[in-house]
Formats: sequence, structure tokens, C-alpha cells
Amino acid sequence: MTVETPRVTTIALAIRDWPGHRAGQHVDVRLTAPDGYQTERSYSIASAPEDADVSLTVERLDDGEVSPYLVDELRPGDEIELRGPVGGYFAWDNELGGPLFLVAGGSGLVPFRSMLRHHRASGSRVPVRLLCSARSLELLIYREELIKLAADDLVDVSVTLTREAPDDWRGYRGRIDPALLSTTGWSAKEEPLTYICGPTAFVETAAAGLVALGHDPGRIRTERFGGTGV
Amino acid sequence: MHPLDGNAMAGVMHDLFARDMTTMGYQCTGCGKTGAVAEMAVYASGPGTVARCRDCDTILLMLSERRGMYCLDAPGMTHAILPLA
Ligand SMILES: Cc1cc2nc3c(=O)[nH]c(=O)nc-3n(C[C@H](O)[C@H](O)[C@H](O)COP(=O)(O)OP(=O)(O)OC[C@H]3O[C@@H](n4cnc5c(N)ncnc54)[C@H](O)[C@@H]3O)c2cc1C
Ligand SMILES: [Zn+2]
Repeated sequence: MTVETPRVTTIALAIRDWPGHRAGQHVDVRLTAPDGYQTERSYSIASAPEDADVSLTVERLDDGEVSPYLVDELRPGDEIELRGPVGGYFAWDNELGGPLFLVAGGSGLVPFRSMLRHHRASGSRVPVRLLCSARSLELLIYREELIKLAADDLVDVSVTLTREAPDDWRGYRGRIDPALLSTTGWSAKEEPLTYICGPTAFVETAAAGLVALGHDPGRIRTERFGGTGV
Repeated sequence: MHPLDGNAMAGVMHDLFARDMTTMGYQCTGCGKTGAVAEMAVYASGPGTVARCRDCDTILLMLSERRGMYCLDAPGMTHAILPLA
């Protein structure tokens, strides 16, 4: 288990007979209480198909039913019940091409970590621009990995902080809007393939912004995690 | 309300149809628009799951589960589900 931020943990799973997955897919985690009550939630796969482990990154919602258990109570060696990998729509592999624009709000970054690792592991030549929105630098997950990924000439990483930023912060500030999407992304005539993931309200804002900028809705794929904005 | 989308139904639908349904296309009876199953607006907080058309709110799918039995109703899909071009 890796602590990403005070509320977010990455969990590595040892799975028997894992059939392999595509970057961007998710699994459903099912918990069963001692009285037989069952509940299920979806979690994106954070690892690349090429990685040795399958991992999930879970953000704890304080009043949540499932996420506090996964973040705070699960211990190495515990077993959980999974279904998947599922979801072929929000998946990317090198054959789908680009240029790629990935837009993440909060834990919406999880499937993109898989895609970016796959991008590197498969030696993809597709140019990628990633825009992440986080409340503060402390709450931005995968910070160190993002810095390493950005060292690749083909990968461009932009971060916007919506609540607080360090005094010497040189990235963007404030919520996502069409101006930020156009500076950090591709122009409509470059016909990017876009993936947007995060809280529902964030995804709606980003998708509407890109459509307003003239992007083809048919090349914009979205995945909503529920909840409000970032 | 902050609805999910059809990606959230990928697991259940895979159990029911034994294949990935998120990339399948549908046509809405309310407004005639076509879309991918992954794009439906999905409300999962009630006793069952309801999927609506993102454009006109027509109910496309209703899914409930009782003691391991699924009940699926697709009132708003004309040609139930078509492969997306
Ligand atoms: C396809 C898919 C992939 C997902 N991938 C991930 C992932 O990789 N990592 C991850 O942490 N989560 C992910 N989620 C969200 C996850 O499935 C759960 O919804 C989340 O963990 C909350 O579950 P819970 O049982 O803790 O909270 P619940 O008991 O379901 O909800 C508690 C409260 O929080 C609100 N709420 C529910 N979801 C959210 C949200 N996402 N943000 C803010 N408020 C919310 C509810 O309205 C409720 O008031 C994904 C969701 C989907 C549909
Ligand atoms: Zn409709």
C-alpha cells in the first residue's frame, strides 16, 4: 500500500488468473458485511497492462460506505472480491492514436496513470497533453511520477490548483474553463482524442468547454466518478 | 444529484450480456439521438439503477437486483442496442 495524500492510498493486488486489462478500464469491488449485506463500487485500474501488479488508487470520502474501508481498514494480506476488468469505452491503447488530451479532476487521474504508463511501456509516439485539477499541491496524487512523466518530450503535464497554491507556484490556478482548456490542450483542428475523468460536475464543465471551443463531441470520451467538483 | 454514466454499469452489463456493452450504441425513443451506452446518464442511488438519455431525460434502461436476480427493462431504446459504427 502506498499513501499518495492524506486521503488517498494506492493498493497493490495479487490476483489469481488476471486476464490482463486495457489502460483506462476499471474493476468493481464488492464488500460483504458479516450479516450478508453486499455493496459494490467501481475503481479504475491505476497500473499499466505492462506492470507486474494490478493496483487501485482510492480516495477516502469521510461519509462514504466503501472508500474509508479500502483506505483505512484494509491490511496487506486481506482479500477482497473483484469483478473485471470491465469498460472498453474509456480505454486507450497506442492503436487508437491521438494526439491525446487527458483531463483529470482529483482522483480522475487514476485511469490516466495507467494510460501514461502504457504510453511509455509501449514506446508510443503519440503526443500527449495532460491537464490535472487538484484542490492543492498536497492533494495532487502521483506528484513525483507526474514530474518524471513530464520529462518525456512527447508528454506535456499541466496542473491547476483550485483552492490553495504555494507562493512560488508556477502552474495554473483556479477552476477549469475554456481558456485553460485551450492553452493546455490541442486546438480543434488538430482533432485530438480527448478523455475526461473525475467528479461528475468537473467532467460536465470540461466536456462542455471543449465542445464550446469547437471540438468534435465524437472524439471526447468521458467517465464520471459521481460527486461534485474539484 | 450528480449522476454517473454508463461506464459505471460496465460490470453488471458484462455479467448480463457476457461482453463489454459500454461501446455499444443505442437510439433514444424520446429524441431519436444515438449514443454509446457509456454516455448514458446513470442514477444509481435509488433501489435500482436508472439510465437516462443525456439529451432529453427519457428513461433508457432500468435495472434492479433482488437476491442475485437481475431485472432489466429497456423502455427507451428503440433498437435495443446496436453495435456502434
Ligand atoms: C467507472 C468508475 C471508476 C471509478 N474510479 C475510482 C477511482 O479510481 N478512485 C476512487 O477513489 N474512486 C473511483 N470511483 C468512485 C467510487 O466508485 C466511489 O463512488 C467512491 O469511492 C465513493 O464510494 P463510497 O462508498 O466511499 O461513498 P458513498 O457511500 O457511495 O457516498 C458517500 C457520499 O459521497 C458522495 N459521493 C459519492 N461519490 C463521490 C465522489 N466520487 N466524489 C465526491 N463525493 C462523492 C455521495 O453522494 C454521498 O453523499 C469511480 C467510479 C466509477 C463509476
Ligand atoms: Zn433522448
